[in-house]
Amino acid sequence: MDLTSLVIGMMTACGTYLILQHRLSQMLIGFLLFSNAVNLLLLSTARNPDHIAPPIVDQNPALGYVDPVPHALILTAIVIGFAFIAHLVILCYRLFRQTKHEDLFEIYERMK
Amino acid sequence: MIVISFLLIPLMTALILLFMSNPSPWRKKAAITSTLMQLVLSGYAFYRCFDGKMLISMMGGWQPPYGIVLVIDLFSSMMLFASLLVYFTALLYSVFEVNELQEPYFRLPLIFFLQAGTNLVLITGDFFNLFVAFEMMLASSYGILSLEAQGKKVTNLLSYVLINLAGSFMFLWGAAMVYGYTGNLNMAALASFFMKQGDSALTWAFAMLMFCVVGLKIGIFPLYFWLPDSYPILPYSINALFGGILSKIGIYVLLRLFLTILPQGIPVVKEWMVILAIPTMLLGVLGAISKSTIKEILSYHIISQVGYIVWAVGMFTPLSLTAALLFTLHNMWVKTSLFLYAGIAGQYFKTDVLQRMGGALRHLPWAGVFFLLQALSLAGLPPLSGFWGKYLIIAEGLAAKQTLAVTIAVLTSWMTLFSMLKIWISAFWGEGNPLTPGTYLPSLKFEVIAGLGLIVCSLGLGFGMEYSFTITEQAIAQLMNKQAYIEQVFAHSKIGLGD
Repeated sequence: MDLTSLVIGMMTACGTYLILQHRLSQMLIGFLLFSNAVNLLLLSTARNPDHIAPPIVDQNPALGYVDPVPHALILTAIVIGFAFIAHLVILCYRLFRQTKHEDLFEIYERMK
Repeated sequence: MIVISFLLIPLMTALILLFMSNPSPWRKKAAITSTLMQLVLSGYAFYRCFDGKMLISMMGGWQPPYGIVLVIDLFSSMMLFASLLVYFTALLYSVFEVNELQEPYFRLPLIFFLQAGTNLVLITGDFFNLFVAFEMMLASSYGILSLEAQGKKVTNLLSYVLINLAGSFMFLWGAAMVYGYTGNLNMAALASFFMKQGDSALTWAFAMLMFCVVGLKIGIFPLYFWLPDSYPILPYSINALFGGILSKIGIYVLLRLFLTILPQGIPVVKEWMVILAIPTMLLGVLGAISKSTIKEILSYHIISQVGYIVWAVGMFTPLSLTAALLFTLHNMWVKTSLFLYAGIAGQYFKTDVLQRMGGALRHLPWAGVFFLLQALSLAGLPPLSGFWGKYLIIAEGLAAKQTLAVTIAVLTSWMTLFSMLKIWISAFWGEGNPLTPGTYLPSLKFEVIAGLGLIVCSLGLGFGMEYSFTITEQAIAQLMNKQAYIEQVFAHSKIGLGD
């Protein structure tokens, strides 16, 4: 559990740092890291899956089930995050194609 | 049944519109009929909610706190009616504004996905569902903006997408946090949890995070730069739609969060709201003064008006909250009609740069009169609807001895009057620029008629202040009574709240 939170923290920190950069590719990777960090955070709310059965009803385990709700939530979140990042990729590609630059300052200079 | 129709009708309409060929005479008609149907339904929902009952629908028969519930209370139904009226007017206006052949094919379906998103935000009773609805709204708005972002306008779209993407991940973060903390996502269950919990560091952190998310969406002080950058690339009718609805949906979420879900009046967040509202009001209106195109000026005014509302929410007294709701309703209608009527002048001159306009009043008398009327209402001249909201907010500010905020609010109001009159004088008054004479299109006359619904409703809001105040006061009282909300949502649940 501690390891998960450490990973989430690291990913968020790296993601935030990269989002604040002014190169499109770094920003994209930043958003990817950030979205996956949030997904992991959602997963971690389902508690530690060690020794606990998956949520299948007829198994009747001694230690109880893993909470199934966060998994359903992650599924939704992944789809939404994926769609948005796909849109962002296309947008970045279009900017790159129009200006042949991936530095935001250069792009804004050229698109004025 | 009536509750779910607010989600199903726009989704069905969007799907039907996707499969209709273009140009087809039925596309716009189907769109307007669908919105009109929902408008009537929302009026009926408002009537049903009037005596304090809520319309509750459990999705798939799953009972709260486990299933998703859709809840319409008086507040929701008011906002539903107000937003659907804006949709109706903007769609009616867009019939005459753009030729079907010039309009991007996907715009109309996307508007209906947007409508499904905003409707779901207004009716949902589940926190994660609120997130999904918010994303639905954002995704369609990205789509609508992308259709307009040709050539150099792509950078305007980029600022919108980047900041809202960061906002949606933060929203998801909040949802994960609240589920990990409480084990619930149902709003009534969350409300009951936070009521028992009282103050704790996690509650504050969650409240602050959500305030950042919503603040980003509605454009409060440090986070507003994307709004006047991206909205002006849209055509007038869609710009009116975005300006009238999207930020006001943010206000709805703000009120819902801080009144229904979280403990009422969390001290630190309340103070931050007041602190941030002051520069929001001032910088919004200063931005408006510094700009010289109609769309940019009006987009900056969205920000300064949001400042008033956030300030009123920050004071957190029943009267100030009532004023905030009243002001939100007023703003939705008045802001939209300002965009629409200024747009008529913009189409007449085929530009929205103020220096190249002038003298439109001679050819478009009614557009000028209605624009002036709504402009004075936005600035807050009695007895128009903007006056009452501002008056109540400032009166509450004086009672709370927030002298600085009151001073800034009055100053902002005065500068709003100045910059609205700037538009009116340069577009409608005067002799006009001989280089840009303007061409009269017969469709402009119909556009004036299309906006009439909003004019009548916002005038009614102002002149019938006794009734509108009573109703909004009732809605806020219902929102502040959390126990009743929890009881009503769980009334049909066999599971109950648990421990």
